[in-house]
Amino acid sequence: MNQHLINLKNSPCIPCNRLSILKTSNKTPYAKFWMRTQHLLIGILDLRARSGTFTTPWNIPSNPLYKIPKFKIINDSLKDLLDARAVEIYHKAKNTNKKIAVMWSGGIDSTAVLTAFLKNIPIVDQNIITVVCDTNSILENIEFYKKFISNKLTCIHYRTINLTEEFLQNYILLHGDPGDCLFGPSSPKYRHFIDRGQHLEPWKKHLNKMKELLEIPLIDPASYEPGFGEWYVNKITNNLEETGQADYLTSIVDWWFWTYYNFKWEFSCQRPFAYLRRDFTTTFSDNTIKEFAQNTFFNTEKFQQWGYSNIKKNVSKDFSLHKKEVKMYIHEFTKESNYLEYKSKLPARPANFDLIVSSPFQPVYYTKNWQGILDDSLSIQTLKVLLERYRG
Amino acid sequence: MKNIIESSNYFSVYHDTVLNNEKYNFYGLLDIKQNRFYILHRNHSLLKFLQLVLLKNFYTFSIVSFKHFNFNANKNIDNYDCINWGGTAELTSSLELEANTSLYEANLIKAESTLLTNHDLEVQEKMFFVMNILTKLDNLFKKVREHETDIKKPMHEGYNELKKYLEIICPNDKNIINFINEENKQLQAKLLELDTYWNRILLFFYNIDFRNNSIESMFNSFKEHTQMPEFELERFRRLYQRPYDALEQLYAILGISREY
Repeated sequence: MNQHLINLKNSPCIPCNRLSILKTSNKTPYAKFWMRTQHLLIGILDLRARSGTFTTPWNIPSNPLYKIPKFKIINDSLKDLLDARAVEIYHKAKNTNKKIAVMWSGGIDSTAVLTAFLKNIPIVDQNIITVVCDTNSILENIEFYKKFISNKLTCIHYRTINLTEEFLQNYILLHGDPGDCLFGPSSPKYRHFIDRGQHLEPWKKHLNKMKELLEIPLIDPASYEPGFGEWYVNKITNNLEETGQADYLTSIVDWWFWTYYNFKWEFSCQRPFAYLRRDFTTTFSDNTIKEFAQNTFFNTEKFQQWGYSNIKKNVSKDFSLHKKEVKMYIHEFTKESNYLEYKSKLPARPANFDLIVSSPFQPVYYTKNWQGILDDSLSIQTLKVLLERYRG
Repeated sequence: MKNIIESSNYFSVYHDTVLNNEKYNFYGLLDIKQNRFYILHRNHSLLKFLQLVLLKNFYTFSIVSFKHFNFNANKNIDNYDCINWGGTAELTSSLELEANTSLYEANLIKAESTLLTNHDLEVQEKMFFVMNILTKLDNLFKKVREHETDIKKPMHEGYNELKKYLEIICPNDKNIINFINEENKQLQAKLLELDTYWNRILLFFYNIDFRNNSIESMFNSFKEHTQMPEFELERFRRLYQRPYDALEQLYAILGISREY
């Protein structure tokens, strides 16, 4: 067996945005279907099910570090959970003599994380925090930057960071992902229903329309393959029914919540391993990978159960109230009423935008320890065979 | 070969794209000892580099700007006959690397009729080879560089404006200036890498044994050099494949057929 096949058995990520270089044959539509999933997953490079059946070309099992906790309705308040988590991580950082690096995009989720620390860490200790950001972060929430970060906290430009084992020995690295999975999924995929006030109606009633909407060759006509909508909606729906969640997650919004919660969660938590690297040849120890998962701010049983419990509350009929709970938490600290009323979710920008490190040099897959493998002829051939054998 | 015009590396200093008012805006490399022009070219920078390569190999040439030079004695001087021409004593009496053509007495004159040796012709042809290949590569790099500069220009301008306003909104802030500088630097990353490739090419030609290598062996060594892992040709391909396939064009210059 070639080394790539061995590596792929435990790969944490096979970036779907690199698959076009494989130039697969057109024997079946499924390779194209799989490649097209990247357009449903902005900023997400890998898709796998944490629960239930979901065949992929690679069939790599989900990592238990990111498992779904017991489906359970809880009554905890978001405020208490955010406060408690910040305190827990603060003590952990103090005890292990590490700094806390918060990747702040300026968006709602990462601002909530940063707010939790600013609120709960004594001012004299706030030098433990380093904000990882860029000009776009500042521009997304300029008043927050001006009042709470400028001349108060240490800032590092994210492009100057190279995520390595050593970095994670010195920092607990935090980010706002996968906030979308907790506070309400992004809207573009079901915008059609929001505009008609139908997004809280049963998905069972609108399955045909949901399929039809995914058929439109919107972003990348080249990868368009008729039947994609039918295939994708059926896959998610079958999984939702198989896991026994179809009677609880009943609306169109719930259906999309499930795509995030079950399929995007794992990579979403681990985005920095793909996006914050300057050198893909380095590796991370099993222990560091485990600690990273444990430290990932929202990757806790409680946050996940809170998201699962509050999905109905998070998305109301009026879509401007999207992510209201988390915005209220930030507002309580900043007292910025404009923010509470008008700040809306923006698509997450990839945390790494520079051309040098972007697509031409991205790995075609990562090994278990996040070493990036480039597209040599054997790695391409191996992935190509697997993708061409894929039968959906 | 009796005259450089017979060489496959020969080129005229007058080409179709030169505007009329730029017709005489070219330079010549004048062998100080022989008082003969070996090559005429319009790219002063490349000529300066060739001058350095020659100096390293103990050939002393002076650059003469024809724009400010009285060459009425042969107003149609070109590369095929420049070797028959030199300058008056004012040009050759000192070892100026850039000849002083401002002196009224500095004129073009017919070279003394001593015969050119085979060695002289070989040196001249090697100079044509180096300038021929460097000119083609320079044109390719210039094209890529101009595209890259052009597409990034609005972003650079946007950053500069942003810096101006954010300094007003967040006075005394140290991060913003650093961030904008960093992002501007990143915007230039592809350009800087292109310079690195160009420097690698120049260094190759500087290091080559100009005296003891034939044109063929210099050319082959250069082709081999581009295939060495240190040259990072694959990275070059990936970086500059759009809008021009720069590697494809590099291969065309080197006469290499690309394997797919």
